[in-house]
Amino acid sequence: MKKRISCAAKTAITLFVVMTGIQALGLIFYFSFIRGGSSDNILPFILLYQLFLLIAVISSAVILINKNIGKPLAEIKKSLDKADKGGLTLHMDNAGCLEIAGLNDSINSLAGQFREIIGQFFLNITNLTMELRQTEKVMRGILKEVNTQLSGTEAVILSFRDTDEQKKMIIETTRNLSEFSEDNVSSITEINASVNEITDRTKELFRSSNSAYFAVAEMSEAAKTLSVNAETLSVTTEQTTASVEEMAGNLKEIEKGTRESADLTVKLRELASGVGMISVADAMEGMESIAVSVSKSRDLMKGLKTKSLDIEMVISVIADINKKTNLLSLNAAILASQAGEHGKGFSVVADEIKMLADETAASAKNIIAIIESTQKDIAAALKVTEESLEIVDSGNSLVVNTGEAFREVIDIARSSSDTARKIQHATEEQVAGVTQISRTMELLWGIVDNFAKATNRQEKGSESLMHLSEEIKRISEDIKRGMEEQNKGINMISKNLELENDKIRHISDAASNQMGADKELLLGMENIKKTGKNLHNASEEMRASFKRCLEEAETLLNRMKGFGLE
Amino acid sequence: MSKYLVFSIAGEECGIELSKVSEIIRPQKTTPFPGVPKYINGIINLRGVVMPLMDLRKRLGVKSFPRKERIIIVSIHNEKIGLIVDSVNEITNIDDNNIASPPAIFRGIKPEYLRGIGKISERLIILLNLDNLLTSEEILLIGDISEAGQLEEKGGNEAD
Repeated sequence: MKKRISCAAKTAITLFVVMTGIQALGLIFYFSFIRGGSSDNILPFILLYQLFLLIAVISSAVILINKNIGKPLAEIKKSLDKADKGGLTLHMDNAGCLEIAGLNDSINSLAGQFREIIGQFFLNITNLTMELRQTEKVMRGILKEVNTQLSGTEAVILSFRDTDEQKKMIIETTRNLSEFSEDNVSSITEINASVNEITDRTKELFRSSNSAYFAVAEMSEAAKTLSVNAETLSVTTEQTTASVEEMAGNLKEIEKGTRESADLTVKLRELASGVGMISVADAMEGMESIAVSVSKSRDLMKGLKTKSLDIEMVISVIADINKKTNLLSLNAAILASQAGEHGKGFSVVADEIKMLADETAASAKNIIAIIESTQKDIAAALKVTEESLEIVDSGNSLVVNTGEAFREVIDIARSSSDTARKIQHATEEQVAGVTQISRTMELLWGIVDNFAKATNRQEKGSESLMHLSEEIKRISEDIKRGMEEQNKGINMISKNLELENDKIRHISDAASNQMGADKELLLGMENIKKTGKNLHNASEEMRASFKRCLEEAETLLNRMKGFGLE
Repeated sequence: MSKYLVFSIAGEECGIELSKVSEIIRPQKTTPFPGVPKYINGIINLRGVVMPLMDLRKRLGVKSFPRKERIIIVSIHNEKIGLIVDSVNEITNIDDNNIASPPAIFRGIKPEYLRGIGKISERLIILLNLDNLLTSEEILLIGDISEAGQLEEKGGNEAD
């Protein structure tokens, strides 16, 4: 570090040096003039010299002061002006003389501290802004969740309303289903009849063809019969084919209805087991807490009753004392009268005692009346409490019943969906079977048609006839077997359909029962929705205030930035 | 104008002169005494004084079954005797002008026991003649009882 000297000393030293130099110059001049010997002109010279000296001293003093003090001060002012305009990064050079350098140092350290504080403050504000932004974000998230919850509640309510619709749809579908199944049963009955007829005709045909086989020669008569039979068979087969096709159509519709029913049942089960069970559990909890409070108040009232009985006992003691006092007053009066004149004062006392006894008796009577009315009130309150306890109990059991009804609905829905699925499977198989039958029937029809044509062309020979009749025999046996299987399948379908009908009726009953519970549930849901809306409003307000806070913080931050830090 | 003690028997208010009354007590332990009329319940011992106990209701021939009783101690012919009544009501002043002479019979009570009917505003009070409550024989008997009681007491004391 450089050693510094004060401005005044520096100026003085420089002035001294300048003056010494000028003095030396003057001396040189002087001596050269003296040596020249022209001492006459010495006075003007001295005067000129002194004037020069004065000018030199003043000008050097001005220059020195300007250099050492004026210039640094102007520089300091410039820097401070710059700082004032926002450039807080000012740094003063460590130059000049002692005072100026000290001033620069002080300004530097002040600026440094100020920068540090402002930096700290900036950091804090930045952090605060970030946190506020974070909080605002969180609030937005909360609001979003509240909204989600609200919309969820809305959706639950809507889906509850939808459940109604779906239940109605289930009932509707069930009705359609039962109509379909009735149609189906009648179709099946028709088919059965047709099949039986076909079987009979086939047998006849078979027999006829046999006799044709054995007596080809006398066949013309039989062939006529055969031709008639074949035509009948053809017509019947055609009818059967139509019936089978109709049945296939019906079965497809049944399949569709069954699938819909199964889907709806599954949906119903999900709804009931989700929201319904939770609501029932909440209600049960509430009822239990009510029951605890009511039984507590009943216990308190019983305690009160006991206390009033105690008071009654005390009152009876008071009544006893009162009687004794009465007797005492009478005896005192007797004694007073026997004492004659001297007893007059005493008779006053006796009267007082009597009055006291009367007053006590009246008070005791009042108290007894009050106690009795209190006891009556307590008894009435106790009765009301017991009644409310009973009501709470019945409410509780109602809630439990609702829960059981829910469970039952779920069970029924589950078993119903199982049954529906089974029916669906059976129906699908049935459709496949019927399609097969329909194909076979068409084949048969073609054959029978051919057969009918063939019988008309009998002269073509018994061999083809024999062949045809054998084929007919074989096919008619196939048909017979197929018809029997068909019968079995139809029986199964009708059984399943009846089972499903029962289940569907159960569902519709349970759904109707459900309606009442649903209404209460809906009411509860509306309340939840209201609370959610309140929460939403509060969150909205909170978020708005956070936003205001953030805005203020950001304004502050911008102003800080204006200071030009970093 | 004299003072009367008013008490109740079978719902009727009766009065006796206060000067004859010495005190009123609660029912006491009564000792039966043989050979006395039915209306004498027995004897009692009141602070060392033995005296007969007369049921006034029985004596006047009225029926009453109160829950509580009181005993009025009176002096008849200088003998102390306890009278059992239903209840004692009050001590009251009755002006002589308000006392009517006794009718032939009043509410089933024989005229010889009556002294008069006292009137206090609307109330009627049967004033009894104590001296006539006992016949001369009975007075003697009571004297005997009292004496016997005293002797018994003395004997008892000596035995101690």
